[in-house]
Amino acid sequence: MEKINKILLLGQSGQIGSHLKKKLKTISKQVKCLSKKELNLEKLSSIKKKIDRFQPHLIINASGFTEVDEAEKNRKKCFKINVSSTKEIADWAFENECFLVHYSTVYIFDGKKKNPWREKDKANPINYYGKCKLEAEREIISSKCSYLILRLNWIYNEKGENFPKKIIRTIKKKKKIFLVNNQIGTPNDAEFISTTTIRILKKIIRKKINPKVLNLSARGSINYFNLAQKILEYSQGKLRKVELIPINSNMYTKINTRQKIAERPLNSLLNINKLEKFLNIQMPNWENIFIKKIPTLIRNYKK
Amino acid sequence: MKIKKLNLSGPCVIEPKIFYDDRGFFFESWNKDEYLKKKLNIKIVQENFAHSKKNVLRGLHIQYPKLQGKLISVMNGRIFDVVVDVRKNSPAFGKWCGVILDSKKKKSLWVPEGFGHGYLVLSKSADVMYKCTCKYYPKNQVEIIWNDPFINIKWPTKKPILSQKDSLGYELKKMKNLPRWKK
Repeated sequence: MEKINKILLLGQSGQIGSHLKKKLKTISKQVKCLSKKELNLEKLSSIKKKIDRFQPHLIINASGFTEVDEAEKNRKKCFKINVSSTKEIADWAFENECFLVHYSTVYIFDGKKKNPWREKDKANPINYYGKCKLEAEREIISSKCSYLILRLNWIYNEKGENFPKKIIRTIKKKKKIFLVNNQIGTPNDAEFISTTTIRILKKIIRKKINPKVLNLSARGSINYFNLAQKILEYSQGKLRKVELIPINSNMYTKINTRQKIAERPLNSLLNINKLEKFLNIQMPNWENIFIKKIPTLIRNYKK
Repeated sequence: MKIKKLNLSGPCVIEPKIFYDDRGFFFESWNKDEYLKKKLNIKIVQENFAHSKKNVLRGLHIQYPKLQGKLISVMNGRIFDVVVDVRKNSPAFGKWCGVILDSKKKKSLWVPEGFGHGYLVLSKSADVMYKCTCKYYPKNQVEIIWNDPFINIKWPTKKPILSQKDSLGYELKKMKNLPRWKK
């Protein structure tokens, strides 16, 4: 990547985007953020024109349709936002020699492997969201633009909807909670993701080497049931005692008849050897970050 | 020059006649009329050269809709070269065939239009030269995943070195845009 003057951030109000917005200033003084109103990703024909006005050297695409269950019902919308708009952005990046940073997901894999997923493992998505995210990766690579794809797994944040918050909400409402115990992953704090993204970008700019695709995650592994236990444990009495009942994902889908639940990979762990080698540092364990965030997660829920 | 048929109809292996003497050796690596005599009507418009390390797997590739036939030769080293019939409605759809090409015997593999192609480097490194019947169209490049369970190629490795693009190849059965089989 050549010297970066202008950066365009898409998805500034999202879980990761909201943190990136503050931190990108350490890379460039000229950071432009386009909100959903300013750049509607469903209006495909307007995307290139809007980017043209700013002429960025780097685009960070932290926007997207992220509701995995909703994606099954609203396929057209999911495809448009996650695939078609990405293609437009990538084509613009290629035509204008702009560097594109794009977030992808472990959901491009089927989860049927024992070990954490490597960057070049065979993709085989099992839900519609994953299918779209895989297609977006292919669009970026075949656009021939300079790109960095960062693959993520379980993201949580103080803002926005995410799993720890869902648990906290349920704890406040119900006495018994059923939780899946056969799906594993690494809960990753959105702020940690954005800080690490900045680190990666700085290294790419300084060293002029591009890893192209990187898994981005903290270390460690947990399932949803154990995660809920941790939340109760760390809440220090701020949440009432409830009964947590472990069940497997098939049972969970059966008891949730009201809502169509997308199939999720059993193993959502990302192998981060390539990332740690590239940055030449060891990633922290997710739990060390989580402990610090849990009071805010609980407090923020009350509002 | 000898033409050897494979158990897939269309592709074939071409064995050149090599003349050795005390200076070295000589052979014709391409002769339009000689090929025509053997009913191989190949029109070359581009030639490419690729150097790869051991255990590198390039493929499986097709160009669509601008189809491309390829004549593969190994200048240095040894490769396991694979051709797959990916023509819609072909009786051999998804069938594959693998041959060893090396710089000793200097055989070439003919990959006709409508066939997928990929190879694995077996030697310390390999230089592969291939002639094409259609020029390169980057946006027409399509990757089929090397370990597609339907094609089920018996690669002599389980963990090849891949490009990111090749690692995201499609499964053949999930592909809509494929060449058509004509009788």
